[in-house]
Amino acid sequence: LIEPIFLPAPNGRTVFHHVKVWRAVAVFKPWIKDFKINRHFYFFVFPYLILILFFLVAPLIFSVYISLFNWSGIKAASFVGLKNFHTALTSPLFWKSVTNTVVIGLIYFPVLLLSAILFAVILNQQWLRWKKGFRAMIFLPAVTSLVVVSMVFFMIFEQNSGLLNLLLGLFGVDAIPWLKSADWSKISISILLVWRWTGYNTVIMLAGLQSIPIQLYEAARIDGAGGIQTFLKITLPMMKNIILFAIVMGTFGTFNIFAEPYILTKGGPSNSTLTTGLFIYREAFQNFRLGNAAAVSLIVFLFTIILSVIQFRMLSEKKG
Amino acid sequence: MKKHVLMSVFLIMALLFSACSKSSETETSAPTSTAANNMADDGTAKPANPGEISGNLEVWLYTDKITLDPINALLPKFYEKYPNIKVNITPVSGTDAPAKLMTTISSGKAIPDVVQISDPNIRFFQNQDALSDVTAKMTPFKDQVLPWKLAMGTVDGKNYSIPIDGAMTVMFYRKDIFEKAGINPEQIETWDDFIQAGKKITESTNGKVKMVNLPIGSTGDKAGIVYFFEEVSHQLGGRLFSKDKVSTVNSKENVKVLELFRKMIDSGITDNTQPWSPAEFAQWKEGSVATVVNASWMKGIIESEAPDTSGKWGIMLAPGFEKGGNRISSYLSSEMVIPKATKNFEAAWAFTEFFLLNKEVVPQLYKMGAPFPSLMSAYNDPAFKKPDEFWGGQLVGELLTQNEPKVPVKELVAMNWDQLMNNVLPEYLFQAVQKGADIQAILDKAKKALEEQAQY
Repeated sequence: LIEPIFLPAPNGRTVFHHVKVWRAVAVFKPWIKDFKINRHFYFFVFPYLILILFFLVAPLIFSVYISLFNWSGIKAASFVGLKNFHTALTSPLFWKSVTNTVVIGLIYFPVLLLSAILFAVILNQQWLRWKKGFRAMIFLPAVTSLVVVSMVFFMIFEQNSGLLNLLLGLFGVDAIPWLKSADWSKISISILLVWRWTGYNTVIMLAGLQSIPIQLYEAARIDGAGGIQTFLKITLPMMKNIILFAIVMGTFGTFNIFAEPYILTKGGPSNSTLTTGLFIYREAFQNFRLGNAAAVSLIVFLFTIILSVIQFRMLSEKKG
Repeated sequence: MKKHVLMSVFLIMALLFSACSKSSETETSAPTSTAANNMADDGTAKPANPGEISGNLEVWLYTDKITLDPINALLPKFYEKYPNIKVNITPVSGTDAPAKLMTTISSGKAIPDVVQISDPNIRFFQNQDALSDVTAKMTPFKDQVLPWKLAMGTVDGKNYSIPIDGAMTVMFYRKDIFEKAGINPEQIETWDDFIQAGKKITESTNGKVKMVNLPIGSTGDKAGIVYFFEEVSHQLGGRLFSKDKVSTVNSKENVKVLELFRKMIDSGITDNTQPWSPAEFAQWKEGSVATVVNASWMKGIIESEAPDTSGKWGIMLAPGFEKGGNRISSYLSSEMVIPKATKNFEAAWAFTEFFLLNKEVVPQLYKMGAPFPSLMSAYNDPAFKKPDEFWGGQLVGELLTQNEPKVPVKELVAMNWDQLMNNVLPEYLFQAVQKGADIQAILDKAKKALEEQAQY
């Protein structure tokens, strides 16, 4: 039941407002009703909401605010309007960081996604023993201290004495400048990313696999479907939402890649591994251009939102 | 039920707001006390009675410890003179110090009283109005400090920092490697001699020992190629910016430097190892690199990172471009600053004066491994005339006392010089030393990028 609502007009008279507005308000009506019914539960999540408010929503609003200012953190901020956005969008370094991020994302994410699905399927097999041990092992990189990781990967990628080049040398491959060439450095970062985040995604995939009703597989077997056929016709379609989730989170993650290039290459050589995350860090905490950094982070935020909307559309239409 | 909900909401809000208001109170109270400090400072530079000065000092020194350890060891002497000052030294890495200082100053809490920061960062913090003006206190010492170091902390005729060490470019070399290859270091006068000697070394060791580390593939705060470029370019008087804020990075001198770099790389005498990394320290230890061309303070780093190589090293002036030409240049080093927000200005000054400007204390620090000081009035001390064991009995102090004062004053011009050098320039230098690259065209591009990014 939608009731017309009356709003005060600027000239003081109460008029029947534009139809669009009361439709919008009507949309919220069930929510309000819902809130009234469930108010006790909202009370339970209240502490969490407060934390979200102070550590997520407030900084977000604040970053929108400071993106309009020239501010270093110490001196009083001066209002510059949209100049920071203009500076960012015309900065070649910013666009370089976007290209780098997209390239690194295109290298590492498909590999990561496929290996995560593969590992999840293997870990989900009935015949596999020591399942818990393997699951813990594969998740380990995601919780290992980055300082340790950086030291180890430095040694692995070292050009003259590194483990990777020694191994490749056995097959007669020349020493590869993993961290010192503008092209290879992107691949090195991608290797580290795959190593670090495959386990995390495997666990998500595993949860997806385990939510597929076993009856579907039994029915398929009775109908005489083979392993590959069941995987393609049952597992993948049933996993659609989980994969979509992983892709969207991966997109967010890709634009926020920071720690890996920071510890391995500091964005070098020749800014070839300067990601958007690292660019924002540089602007904010090395150049102390906080307003500019906020503007860049908002632009990147918009990018990721647009990209994930596109992904949602594409994937849900194709298979839905 | 409703009342309970409302009550708890109010309570939580009250808690949060009381926390917020507390922090803002301290923030507002901090600047007033500083203002008072500076007023007294500007008016009279009277030397206070050491016993009367009191306060708890928070001091940030670099984690590399070549400055920190000797100061720590001499603290008891400082307490003898200033019994009412308490000092707490916190090690902070040189790369983190600016960001850490920035956040403490903007939050208004736990602001240090004395901070060791690198030369280019002084301009930046001065521009942010975050540093105490020490002009009145520095006046009696102006003729006693290396002029180019004093200039680093001078803005519009006012001093904002107290110099710690010199940074003249020198060549550290392995005597044992030179001897084996039959090279007389005294005959290396020019960069061409340097390349010839390098070829001899690499050939006689089948390429296992390189002449020098020229890290072209490193960026960020470890951009080694930039240090090298800056030092060699300074020999020719080449700079990044002229005084009128125009970038001179594409000058003839700088093209010449990059041509030299490419010649070095092509002749196979260079290595490409991340500077300041365990890999570079390992090179020094195992002797897989024959020379280190860097600032004089690197001496202490080599001593502490490769202690087992004692006696195998020598120090000399870096090669020049022409025979008999200029071989004096410098990189950068660090200074101490006193943040404006400190409540213990007098005590902070007493600390820096005692350890950096005291003719008796500075030579003692040097003896204990501190980097070569910038206090010229201390250079006559016997500490600088003693043969140095680690350096094979060489008179290192004499070489430096004679040559450090010759370093010409250099202008950094841009306020964010550090960032330009670490994050903007490396990309272009990397491109310029690649085979077949058009150095002039690349440096023209670098000029544009530097001018766009520079802040004044």
